[in-house]
Amino acid sequence: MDSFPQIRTLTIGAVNGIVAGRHGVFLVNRYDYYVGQALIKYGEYGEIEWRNLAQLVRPGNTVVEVGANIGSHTVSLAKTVGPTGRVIAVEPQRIIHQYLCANIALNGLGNVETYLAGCGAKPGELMVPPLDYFASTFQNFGGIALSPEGAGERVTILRLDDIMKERPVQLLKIDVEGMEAEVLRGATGLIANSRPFLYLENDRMDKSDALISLLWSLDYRIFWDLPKLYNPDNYFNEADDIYKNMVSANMLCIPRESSLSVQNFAEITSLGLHPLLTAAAGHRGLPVTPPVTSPPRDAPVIVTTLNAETAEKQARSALASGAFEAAEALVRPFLASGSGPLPLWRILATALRQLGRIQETLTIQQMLVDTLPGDLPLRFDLSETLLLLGEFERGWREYRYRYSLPHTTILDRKVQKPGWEGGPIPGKTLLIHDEQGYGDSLQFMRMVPWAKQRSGARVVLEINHDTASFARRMKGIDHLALRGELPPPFDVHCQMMSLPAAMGLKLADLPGTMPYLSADPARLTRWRKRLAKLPRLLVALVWAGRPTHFNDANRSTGLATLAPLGMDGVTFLSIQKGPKAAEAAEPPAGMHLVDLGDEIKDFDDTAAILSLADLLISVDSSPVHLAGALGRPAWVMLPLVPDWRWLLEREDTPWYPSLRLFRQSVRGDWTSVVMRMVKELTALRDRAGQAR
Amino acid sequence: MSRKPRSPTPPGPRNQQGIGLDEAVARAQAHWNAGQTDQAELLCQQVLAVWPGHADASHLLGVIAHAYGNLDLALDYLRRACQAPRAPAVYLSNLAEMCRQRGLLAEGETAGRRAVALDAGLIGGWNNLGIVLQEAGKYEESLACLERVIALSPDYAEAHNNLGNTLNRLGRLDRAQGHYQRALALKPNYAEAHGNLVKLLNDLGEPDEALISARRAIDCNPRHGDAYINAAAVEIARGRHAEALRWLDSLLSFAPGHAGALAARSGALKHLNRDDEALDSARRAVALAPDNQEANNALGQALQALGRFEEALTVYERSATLPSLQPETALVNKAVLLMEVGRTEEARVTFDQALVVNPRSTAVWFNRADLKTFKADDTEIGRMETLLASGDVQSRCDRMSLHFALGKAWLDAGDADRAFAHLGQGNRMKRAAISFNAEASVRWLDAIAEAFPADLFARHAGGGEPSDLPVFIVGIPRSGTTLLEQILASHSQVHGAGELKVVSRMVEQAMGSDHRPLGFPQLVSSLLPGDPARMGRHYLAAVSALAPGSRRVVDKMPANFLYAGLIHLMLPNARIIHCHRDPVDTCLSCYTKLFSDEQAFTYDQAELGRFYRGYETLMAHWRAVLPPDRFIEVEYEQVVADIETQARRMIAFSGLEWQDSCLEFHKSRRPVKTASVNQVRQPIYRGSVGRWKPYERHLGPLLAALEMANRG
Repeated sequence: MDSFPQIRTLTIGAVNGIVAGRHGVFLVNRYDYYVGQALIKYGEYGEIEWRNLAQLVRPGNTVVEVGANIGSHTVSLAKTVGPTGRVIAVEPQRIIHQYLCANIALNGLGNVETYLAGCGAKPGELMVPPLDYFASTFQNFGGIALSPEGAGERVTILRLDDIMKERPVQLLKIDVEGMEAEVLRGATGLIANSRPFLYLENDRMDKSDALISLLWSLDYRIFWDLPKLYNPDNYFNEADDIYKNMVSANMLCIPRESSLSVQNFAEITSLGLHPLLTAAAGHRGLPVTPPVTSPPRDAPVIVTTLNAETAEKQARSALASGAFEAAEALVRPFLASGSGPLPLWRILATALRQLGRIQETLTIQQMLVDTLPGDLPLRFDLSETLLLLGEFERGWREYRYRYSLPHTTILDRKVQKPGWEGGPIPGKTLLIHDEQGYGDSLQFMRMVPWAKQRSGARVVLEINHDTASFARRMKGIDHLALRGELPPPFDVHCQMMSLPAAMGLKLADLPGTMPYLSADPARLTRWRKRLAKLPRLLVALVWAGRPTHFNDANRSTGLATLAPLGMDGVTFLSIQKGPKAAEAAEPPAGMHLVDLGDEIKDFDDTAAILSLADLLISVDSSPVHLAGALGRPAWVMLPLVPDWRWLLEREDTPWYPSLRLFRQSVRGDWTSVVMRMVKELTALRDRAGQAR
Repeated sequence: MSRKPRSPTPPGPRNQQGIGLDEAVARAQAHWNAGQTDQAELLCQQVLAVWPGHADASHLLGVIAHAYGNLDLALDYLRRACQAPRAPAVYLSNLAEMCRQRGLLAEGETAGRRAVALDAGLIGGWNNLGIVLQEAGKYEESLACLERVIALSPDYAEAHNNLGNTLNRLGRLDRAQGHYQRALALKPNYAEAHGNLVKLLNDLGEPDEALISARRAIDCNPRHGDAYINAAAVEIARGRHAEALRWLDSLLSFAPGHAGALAARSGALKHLNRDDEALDSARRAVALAPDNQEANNALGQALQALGRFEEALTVYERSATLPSLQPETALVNKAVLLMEVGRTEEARVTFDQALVVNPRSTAVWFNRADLKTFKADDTEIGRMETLLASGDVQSRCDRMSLHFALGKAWLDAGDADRAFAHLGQGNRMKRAAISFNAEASVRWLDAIAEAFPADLFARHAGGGEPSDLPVFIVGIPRSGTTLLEQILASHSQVHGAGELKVVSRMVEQAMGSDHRPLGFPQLVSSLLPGDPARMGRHYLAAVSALAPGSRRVVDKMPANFLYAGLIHLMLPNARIIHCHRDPVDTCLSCYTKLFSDEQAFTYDQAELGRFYRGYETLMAHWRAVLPPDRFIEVEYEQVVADIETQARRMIAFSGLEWQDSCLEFHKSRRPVKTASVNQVRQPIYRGSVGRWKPYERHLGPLLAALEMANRG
C-alpha cells in the first residue's frame, strides 16, 4: 500500500500521484482514505453511486455539486453534461479545492465553475477545522464538517440562491457532512423554480428525520440509495475490497409532480428508520446489510421521464425508422400494469409483429379489437395476424375489412347485388371478381371452380387482363369478363378474396387439384427453342417484388445478395421485371446469368419459362404463385415476418406442394437464407449431374 | 334508433324520344349494378350534357352520390329528377328517404305522399313515408303506413324493424319486440334490429340481455353507432358511468363528429362529476348539430351542473322548440331546473306544458308529484293510476317512477295501504335493478372505523392543510342536512356549495405507485407525511373557486360521513357537522324516495335498517376520535323545536358572528339540488318529526333491523 502501482499512476512527491482512471486523469492524495485511495487502487471512486446518479443527468443540464471534494464526480458530471451543459462545483476546504481545480484542468474541461466556499441558509463565514493535508498518514479529507467557531481557517458561506440567481438547475448534489438541511434552506428559490432532482448524503442519523421532513415539505419523494463503495467490476480489476462491504447512505429525491418513476429503490415513507441505525454516524461508509423496510431487489432503475404523449411520438418515429426494439422499450413502461393508453398498445402490437412475436401481437390486437370494435383498420391488422397463425375461420371473417383502411376505402366496389354467402343458388348467376395484386388472383383462382360446384350457379369471372389467359384455360368458368368491361347480368356476387370466408375455407381443404393453371402450348414451343442451348440446371431468378407493395422493403432484396448462388453447372435465368430488372445487366462474378427480362411480354411467357426451367428461386412475388399453381418447383425467400399466406415456421406451404420456403431467422438477414440455398442448390446440381 | 329504407331501384323501361340516351342510361345502370362506378358516372354525365336535367340520369347520379356518402349532392340530383313531369314514384320515394336522412322532414313527407299517391302499390314508398312520419312524431300515421307495408310484404325485414320503432315510440314495447324479432328471424345479421333491441330490452328491465344485443349489433356492423349509444344508455341507467364512457369513447374513436355520442358522453361525464369535461363535450355536440335537441339538452344539463342556471334555462328554452324523439325532455329539464332555483310556480306551468307534449311522460308525473301535497280526491292521482294500469307505460324505469310518485301521493292523501303498496312495488323494482350487499357494506363501515384509530391522528398531527374555509355537513340522506345547510348559507359570509363529490372523487382516484387505485380505507395506510396536506390543498383548490370572498364554504354531501376522519387529517381546521334525526323517520324518508344518484341501501327495509346501524357505529367512532371543536352533532328534532338555539350553536361552532338572517333561511333563493328541494322552501317542517308512527305496521322489517340497532 505504500507505493503507487507504476503502470497506471504517476507518483509526484511524498503524497501526490496522478491516476489515469475510468473517467479521466486525476491528481490524488494517496493518504486520502476514501477518494484518493480508491482512485489509485480501483481507477475510480464511488462508481456504483455514479451509475445511479448518472441516470439523472442529460447532456445540456446544469448541475450543482456542493461538496465537490477533489472532483471525482465533478469530472464525470462535466463530461456527461457536455459543452452545452454546466457544472457548478462548491468546495470549502482550500487545499481540496485546489485539487479540484487541478483535476478540472487536467481533464481539459471548460464547462465547470468552482467556488471556494461553503453553502448555507444565510451568507456568512464558518471555520474549516485544521488538517495537515500533506501528512503521511491516512485521513478522510471528505469527512470535514464546518463549525461556527474553533480553530482552523475561515471560509465564506454563500446561499445557493445567491450563487445561481435565476439560472435553472436540473440536478443538485449535496455531500456536506451534516449541513445538507442548511444548504437546502439557502436554495429554496432554486428548488421552487427549477424543481431539480436532488441527490443527498444522509449518514447523520441525528439529523436524518429533520432532513427527510424538510424534503417532504418541499414536495419531494425520497428514495434510499445505498451504493457499495467497492465495485467488483472496477476499472483496474482489483479483487480486494478494502472497504469491506461498506455502503454510502444517500437519498435520491424526485419532485413529487415529476412523471419520472423509480424502480428498485426503497422509498422513504416514515421517519425513524435510518438504514445505518445500528452504527454510529460520522464516517463515510459502514459495513451493513441495510435494515430498510423494502430492500432494493435489483439494480436501481430510474425510468424514463417521458410522458405518454412524448413516448408515443418517439415510438412512432422509431417504428417509421424500423427501430422496433426501441419502440417497444419506449412504450412498455406505460403498459406495465396491463392497462394504459390505447395508441401505445397499438404501437406495441406493431413493433412486436415486426419482431416476429406473433402470439403476443395477437393477444394485444384482440384486446384492442374488443375495446374498439369499430376501428376497422385494427380489425384488418388482426385478420392478417390470425391468418398468419393459420387461424382461418376468424381470420377470413376479419379479412372483410380490407376495404375499410384509409387508403383502400376508395377501392371498395359498391356492387348493387347481394353478396354470395356460400350456399347453393342453382339457376342464378354468380359474379366473381378479382381484386388486388396478380399473386392474389393466381393464388385464389383455384377457388372459382369450387365456387361453381358449391353454388350450382352459372359463374361469371371478372378478372384483370394480365392473368385472364390462365382463366380461359381453366375449367369451371361459364363466362369470362375483363376488368372494367360490363359483365353480363348477375344475381349475386363475390370478391375473389372473399371466397374463403363465404365457403369457410380450411387449411385441410388445400391445395385442391394440382396443378390448376397451365402454360400456353404455343409459348412453350417458343421458349423451349429459346432455352434449348442453355446448359442445365436452369434456375429462374426473381429478387424483387412490385416496389409499390407496402411490405416491399422487407420482402425484396438485390441481385448482389444472391451472388453466392453463382456456381458452375447452373445457368440462371433472370425473369425479374420492373425497375430492379436492370441489375441483371451486371451479374455478380461467377454467376452465369441470362437476362430474359426484356423478352418476357406477359405472364404467359413467365409461365412457359417456369414450366421449362428446373427451379425458380424468388422472393415473395407473383412468379412464385405462378410456379406453385403450375406445379413447378420453386424456392421462396421469406422475411422474418412474411405475408400471412406463408404462415409461420414451416418449410412447405399447404397452398402449393411444389414450393419450398427459406425463411429468415433474423430480421433483415438474407445472407444466411442465401447460404442455406447455396448448400441445397449445390446438392441439387450434383444430383442432376449424376442423373445425366 | 335505425331504420332501413328500401334501397333505390332502377327505373323501368320508358318510352321516350332519344333512344340513344335510353340505351346509355340502361348501360349506366348496369355498370352501377356491377359496381363499376366510373363507367356509370361517365355515361350519366354524357346523357346530361345532351339533355340537362334528364330524369333517369339525374336519379342515378343521385343514387351514386348517396352511396358515396355525399348526401347534399344526392338530394340535388334527386330533386332535379323529381321535377320531371313523368318522374316515377320510386324517384319520389327515394327523395323522401334522402330528405329524412338530411332532417328535411316536411319535404320528405310531401315527397313520400306524392310517391304513394302516384303508385299505391309501391311498397318501398309506403315504407319510406312511414319512417318520415315516425321521425316527425306522427306515430299513428306512421303505424298505418308500416302496417300496410307488412301486409303487402310480410317478409320485409326492414319494414318489421321500422314498425318496431314506431310501436316503441308509442310505448308498445311488447309489440315492438315481436317485430324486431321477426326482422331478425328474416335477416339474422341485421345490425339495426339488434341495435334497436338494446334500448327496448333495457326499458323492459333486461340490461344484460340488452348488452348482448349491442354486441351482436356491433358484430354485424362494427360501425353501427346506435348500438354504442344504446349500450352506453344501458350502463348509465344502472349507474355504471365509466362503462358508459368506454362505449362512447369507442364510438368516438371512429366517428369523432358523432353529436349523439358527444351528448351522451356529456351526460356520463356529468354523473362522474367531471363537469368541465361534460360541458366541453356538450358544446362540441351542439357545435356539430345546432338543432339537435339531445345535444342542446346535454348542454343545458352540463351548465346546470356547473351552477350556470340562467344560461341553462336559455338553452332549454331554445331546445324545447327543436324536434326530438322525446320532445318533452327539454321542458322537463327546464321545469326541474326551475324547481331547483325555487321558481315553483313557473316549474308547475312548465310541467303542464310538457304534459301537453307527451301525456305519457312519467318524468313529468314523477317530478311534479314533489311540487304539491295531494288530497284524496285529487284527480291527478287517478290519472297516474290509470296511466300505470293502461299498458301505455311499459318501460320498467317509467313504471317504477310512477310507483314512487303514487306512493308519495297516497301518503299525502293519508291512504297508507295504497301508499305502501306502491312504495313496496317501486322499491322492489329498483332493488332488483341494482347490486348491493348489505353485509359487505356494514363490514366496510367497520373497516373504516378500524383504519382511523385515535393514534393515527396523533401520528399525523401538524400535517394537513390549515385552512378553515370548509364546513362539512354529513349524515344519512334525508336526515335534515339540507335544512342545516340552508341555515348556515343564510349567513352573509357563508357559501352553500351543495353536495360536492370532491372528497369521494379524490378517494376514488388515489393511486398507488403501481398506478392502481388504492381503495378506501386502505389508502390510509399508504399516506406519506405530506399527503394529507396535499389532499387538503386539492380540496381547497376545487371549492375555493366556488365562493370567492366567503369565509366558509359548506359541502353538504351526506355521504362524506364515510370520510370524516380523512377530512380531519387533510383539513384539520375544517368543521364537520353531523346531522342526526330520528332513525325511523330518516329511514322512512329514504324509503319513500327514488334518488337520482345511487343510494343503493335505501330500497329494502331490512337492508336500510342494517346499513343505518353500521352508520351509527361509525359515527360513534368519529365522535370518540375527532376533537369537539372540529366535530359536532346536531339533532334535527332540536332544530325544529328551537331553531335559534341550534342555529346560534352551529354559527358559533363555525367561528362566525351571529346574523339574524340565519333564522329566515327559507327566504334564501339559492338553488337546491337534492331530494329535499321543495321542503326547504317551507318555513319549518314540523310535519317531519315522529312522522313514522302512523305507518308502524308497514315498517316491520325496518323496525326489526333498527330495534337491534337501538338495543345492540
